[in-house]
Amino acid sequence: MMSLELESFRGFAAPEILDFDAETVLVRGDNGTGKTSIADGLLWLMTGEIPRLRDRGKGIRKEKADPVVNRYRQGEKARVKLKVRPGTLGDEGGSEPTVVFFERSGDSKNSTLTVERGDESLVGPEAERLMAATFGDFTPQQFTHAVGAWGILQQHALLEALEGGTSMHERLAEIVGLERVNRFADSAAAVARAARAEQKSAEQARDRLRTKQEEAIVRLREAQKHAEHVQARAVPVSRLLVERDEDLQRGVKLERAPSEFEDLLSLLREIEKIGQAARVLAVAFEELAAASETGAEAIDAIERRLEGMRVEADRAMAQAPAQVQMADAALQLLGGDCPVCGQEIDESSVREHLNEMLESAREESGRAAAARLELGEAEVQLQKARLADARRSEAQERVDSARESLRAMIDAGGWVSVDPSLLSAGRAQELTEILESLEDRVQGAQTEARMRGGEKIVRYSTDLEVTVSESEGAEEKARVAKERADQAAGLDEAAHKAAERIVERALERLQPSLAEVFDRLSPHPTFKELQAKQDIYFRKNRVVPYAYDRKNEVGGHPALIFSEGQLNVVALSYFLGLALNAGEGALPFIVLDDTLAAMDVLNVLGFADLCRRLREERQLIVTTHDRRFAGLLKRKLAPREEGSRTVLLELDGWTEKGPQVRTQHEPMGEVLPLPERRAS
Amino acid sequence: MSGKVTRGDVAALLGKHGYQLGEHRLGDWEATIAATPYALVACIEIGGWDDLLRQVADVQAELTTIDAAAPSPRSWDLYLVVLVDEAATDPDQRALVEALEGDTSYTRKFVHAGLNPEELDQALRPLLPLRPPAKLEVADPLEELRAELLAIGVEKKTVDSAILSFESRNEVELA
Repeated sequence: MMSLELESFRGFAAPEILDFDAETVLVRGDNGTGKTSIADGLLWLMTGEIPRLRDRGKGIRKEKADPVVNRYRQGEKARVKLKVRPGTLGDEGGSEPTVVFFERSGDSKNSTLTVERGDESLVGPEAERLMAATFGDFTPQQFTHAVGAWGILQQHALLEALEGGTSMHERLAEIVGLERVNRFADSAAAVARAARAEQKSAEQARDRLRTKQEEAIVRLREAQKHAEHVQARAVPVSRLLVERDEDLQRGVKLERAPSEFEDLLSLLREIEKIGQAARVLAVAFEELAAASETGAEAIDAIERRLEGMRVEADRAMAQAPAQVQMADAALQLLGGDCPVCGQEIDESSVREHLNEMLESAREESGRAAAARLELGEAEVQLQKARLADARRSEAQERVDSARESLRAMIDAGGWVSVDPSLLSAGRAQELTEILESLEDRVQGAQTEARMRGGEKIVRYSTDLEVTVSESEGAEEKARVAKERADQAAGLDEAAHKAAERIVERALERLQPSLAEVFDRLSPHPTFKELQAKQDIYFRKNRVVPYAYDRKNEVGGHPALIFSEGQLNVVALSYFLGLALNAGEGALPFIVLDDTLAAMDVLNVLGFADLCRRLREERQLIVTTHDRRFAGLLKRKLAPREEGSRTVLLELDGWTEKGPQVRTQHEPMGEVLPLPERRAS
Repeated sequence: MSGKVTRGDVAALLGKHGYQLGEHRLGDWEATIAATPYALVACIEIGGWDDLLRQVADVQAELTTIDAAAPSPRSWDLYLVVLVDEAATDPDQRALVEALEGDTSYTRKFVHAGLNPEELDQALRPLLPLRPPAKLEVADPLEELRAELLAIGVEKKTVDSAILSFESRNEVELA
């Protein structure tokens, strides 16, 4: 930032250009001379609003004047203009930076931003976008947030940093990048709510059907009681299903005899269910039998054989082509004289020998190719064996699971018991046949009972049958809905917990930065550590400060331990800790508006030393009303190295036109080496 | 680390952070002097609490004398680090430390009694440059979330399905 121009804005009626072209800008002025108007001007220019004034205005009725526009210039537009040289702070761009002017004009409700960059001029949203992008990799919304969170700190907002635990959490979440995690958690919570509602509705439907079923049973019993034929009640089920029944003697037994019509219905349902599970088991056994058995030992044997074949094939492949090439090349060079020593040789005899060698090498090469082919086939065989082994394992798993679920179903039923031997590979099919036969017979008994009971009983029994079927469907739906709701609730809970853990770790990483500021300002002799802790109350996450005395292992909220002045130091540590750790969201400036109030001289000395360090990384704009502290900061922050600049703006003599501004450029102070004075 | 902090420890830490170091005699005391354009730091070791006030005043006078030989704006930035071997155990000693540190005329004084090497970095923090900021942002928040959900004990199938649906449709769906 190079300069700031204010006109008709807050305490500045007449146009005033303030020199900001320095690493450090110190603004000194008594109360009411316009210091806060400067910070407000930056805030309004950058975000289009001044929340403090908006909030204060809420309780004041019949106030027509606009708080942003200077009271002597009501009816005019307030105007704030900032001159910026991008790339000089924060962004180290290579090319010559172009000066950019940002100007906002209007009032507290309506204002327009204009940008001028060279010949280019932008207005409104485009200008907002360009301004955000000039100060970092921001969208306008992110820029507004960053300016409020770690760009400009005003005196009135100091303690809010400590009280606003929720907003602190939000700020931290923004830096950490928790937005997506939070959206996930919110979505999981929505799913959990929906699933719980579905569960409730399914359970209500189930309860209605249960009632309906009970009513159907009562109706049927009444009808049976008043039936003309006595036989209607004497269901011949026992006779059909006990002692002499061959199926029952083959391992399936009835635990008790059905006496009422609804017993038959219930029995039939159970047999159907068990029959279905038995069929699944029988199919699983068939699949297991079909899966060819290749044990681990057989696979090991194939692997060992393969390894031997690989070595042999590699050797043959490596040697054979070399021999063929060598013999072939020698034949090409062969003549009356030796190509090496030049002596005369018997060409025909050597040629014959070489041809034999060539033939032998070609045979070897053929064998190598055959070995490679054989190796390929063996590898395919190994793969097949492994696949078959995997299929067999899967089939075995299916058998185990089907048997387990069949057992559970039999145990839960209560009507039928089954000999365990029927659950084996050889007899599962037999069990399905027994159950099918039993099902037929129970259905026959049911039909007979209906016939005997007359028209009413036929109708009521059909009603009951339908109701039971619906009720079972509803039970299943309610069970599934509950499972789903529990799963969703678990995910919801875990998502929030995960977000908390991510923030917890971020807080641990933030710790050194809080200490970075706190240690320099040393506000307390024993509570020397400032920590940030997560506090969760009814799922509302807050980050709260915690002062800690490590030696005595005692700690607590600073608001309950520290004095007001010390609390200011804690708040400043929080703000600067965040500013230093804003990562990609960092701004190239920090504005501290009268934040030294209530600090003692030691705090201010520490603050001055801290400012020296801070200005190496950010442009610093510090305002204070305190003459002594201003003098101290002026001396401490005066430049001592080439290229370093410090500007002091003295505000005084405020009139209805605004303050008088005196600008001083602090001269560079030369520091000479110390004279030699060696220790003896 | 164990034992008490020595002048050598202070010199090593300040030297690591760009201070020019030297050994000077300040009155009766051997002192380590560390300097940058912004600060002139003297560090002395004192065995006990007897006559501490006078001793510190003497050393401070010597330091200002040295500085006055080459006057510069740095005269506003004289620091005296006093290492007292014995820890401050009674209120009088603590009051003395407070009085010494509270008196900022001529030099700013840091009195560290019974300082352990682990505490040195924090004790000298006002004289050291800012540390590089911590990296708070999470590289891949959803990946971090996935790991957390699994660590908390949510079934992998549920986690995979929820994350996948959120990645593609911004909505969590159950498996």
